[in-house]
Amino acid sequence: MRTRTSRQMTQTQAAYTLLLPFLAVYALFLIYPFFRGVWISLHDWNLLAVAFNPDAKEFVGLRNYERVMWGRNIEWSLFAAPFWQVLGLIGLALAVLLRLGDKLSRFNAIALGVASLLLIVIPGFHAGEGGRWFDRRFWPTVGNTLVFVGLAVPGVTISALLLAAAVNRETRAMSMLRTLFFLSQVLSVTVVTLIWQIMFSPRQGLIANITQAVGGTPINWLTDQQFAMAAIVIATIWWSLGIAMILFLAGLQDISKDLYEAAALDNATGARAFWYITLPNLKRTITVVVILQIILHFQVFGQSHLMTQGGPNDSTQVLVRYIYQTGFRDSELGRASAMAVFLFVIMGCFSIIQFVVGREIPE
Amino acid sequence: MSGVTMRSIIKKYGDVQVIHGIDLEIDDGEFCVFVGPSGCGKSTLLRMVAGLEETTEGQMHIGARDVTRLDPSDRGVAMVFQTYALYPHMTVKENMGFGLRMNKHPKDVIAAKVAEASRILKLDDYLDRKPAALSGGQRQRVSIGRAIVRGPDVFLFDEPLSNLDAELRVEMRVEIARLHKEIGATMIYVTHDQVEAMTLADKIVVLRLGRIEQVGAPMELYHDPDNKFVAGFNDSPAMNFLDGTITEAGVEIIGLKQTVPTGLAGGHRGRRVTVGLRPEHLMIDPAGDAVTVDLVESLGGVSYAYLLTEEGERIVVEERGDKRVSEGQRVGLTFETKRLYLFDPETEQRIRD
Repeated sequence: MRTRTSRQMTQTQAAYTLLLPFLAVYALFLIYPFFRGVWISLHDWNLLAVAFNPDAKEFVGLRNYERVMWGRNIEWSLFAAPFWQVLGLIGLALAVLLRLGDKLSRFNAIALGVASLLLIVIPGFHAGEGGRWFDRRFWPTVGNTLVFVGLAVPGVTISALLLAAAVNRETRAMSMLRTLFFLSQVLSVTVVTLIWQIMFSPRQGLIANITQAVGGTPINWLTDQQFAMAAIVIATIWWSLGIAMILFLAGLQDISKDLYEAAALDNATGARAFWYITLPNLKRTITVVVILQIILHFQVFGQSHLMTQGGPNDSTQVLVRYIYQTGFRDSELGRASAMAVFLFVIMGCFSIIQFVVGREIPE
Repeated sequence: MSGVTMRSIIKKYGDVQVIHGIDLEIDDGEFCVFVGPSGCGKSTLLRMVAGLEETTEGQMHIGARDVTRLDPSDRGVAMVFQTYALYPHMTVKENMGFGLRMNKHPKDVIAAKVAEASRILKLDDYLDRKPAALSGGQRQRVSIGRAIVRGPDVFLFDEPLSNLDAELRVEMRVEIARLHKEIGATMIYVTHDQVEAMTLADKIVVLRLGRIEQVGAPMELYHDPDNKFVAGFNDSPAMNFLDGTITEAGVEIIGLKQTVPTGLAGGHRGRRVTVGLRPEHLMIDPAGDAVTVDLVESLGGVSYAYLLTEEGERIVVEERGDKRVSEGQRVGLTFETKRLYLFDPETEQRIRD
């Protein structure tokens, strides 16, 4: 009698066989284009010229990166951007002090330290006398993107958390509300921006109507440099609340009811129960949501492209839109790819952090 | 003074009434056990004392205070949960001190009380651990410690030993009894385990379907049950119930082919009754010929013989020592007449002579 193994595949063989289709697609549509992108970023590569003549490209090494991120006579000093750099110094000092006082875990101390260090170093670069940045728009665009992420991520996280806590009840009304809040998530970015363009419209918009009703002057949200970014952030929060809320709901349902009863006997109800019981038990969910949102919102494009076209005065120009314009409007594919690699590095860092945090042994 | 007094306590969930007017006095320092099958309302009643369930009607007093409408934290009670309900993100020390912290007690007071509780419960080596690093028994001790630290008037235990394995359960049972002696506070303890009820209680409250069946000291309930339910509940294996009829000569127990004299005779002649006999009060008579041995379970020192009457009634007999019957054998049963209980088959109430 023949043995089983000679007729049938081993588990390993079966696993590879089943994985093969996925790996093939993954390699073809993700791995290859990624390396191709890195390759393009090392060339002076005009989209149209290369399309007509494949030889019309020139290997330039890291020059694209230099042209995008560097300039002539760039200097570094500690007081180029005092606000951010001092903030960074304070952060660094806090990280050291709290770690020495054992108030901060090693992981958090390192995270705070690295973030503070970046805050000290990066804003310190500036063009010296007679010098200039080769690309004046790149770093402000990165700054805008950071501002967007810095507002949208806490905005989404906090509002999703509060909403989840509020609708975490087993009544019919609450399950309807849960569905309603999630509904915005399924809309496409075009629809979302359309809705919010109407909302923000200074003539017929809902917000303008309310402002007028209480006797104020309507804000010209989308064309006012002060408010354009806020408008985009608000629309984004409304749009991406759903997933975060669902994740928080899952986390909330993992917290045993007994804990709240024990807390009620210990005189911790309502806001205090939320602070002392809910939040600490949601720590891991919050970390996951924050990092997922960071990765997601660094790629913001549609909202800025459709609502404000990057304006007014470039105040809502974000990285992906700039990459898109450089590559497909200006046909500078090499430079666009260099920026894309830069964006990849940032998001790669957060993905690694998420991976590390996700693997941390639960308490 | 911090006994618990319940007057006409009623609990309804919407239209469904689960507690039907309970009147109960629990004295200061008493260890009172609520016992009954699942769904009898014992946990609900305990949670109503705690304030975790609202009291629909009636009054609840702790000591002289009316606590019916008070928040759980204002009632002066502490509760030990079946699932321990320890805060997973806090250390043992923080878990025990949390209640005092929430009530804004000074840090040194909290530290002193936590130290005292951890001494009583021998938790000193675990104070800086998180609950996940503790065994089930240790977790339950922390949970009890959390209750002690709060210095409550009344301790509430909701099936605290159900999640522990058999050996630990016995150990913790002894520990809870010791704790009651040491602290002397009023304790209310919910369980479905009659061994826990019998060993711990000063007073047992037997509940069924939201009503009190009987209240009394453990031995009182054992020797003098008010009805068939109580008689059948507080013993394992349960009391045997057989059909019987009152005759001129006494009670005729049909399945045993015996008539036993009773003070009832007279006016009750011809009345059908249910006869109750505890397994430990029955002795097998190998010379007899009334019942058949169906099965014998040997547990070492004790063995249980399962017998069948000709009417198909099942009887359990507890035997001690080495004399054994074999399956299929025909035997008779003997017992002392004073060990016999009579119940009304309709109302299930005890018929006393």
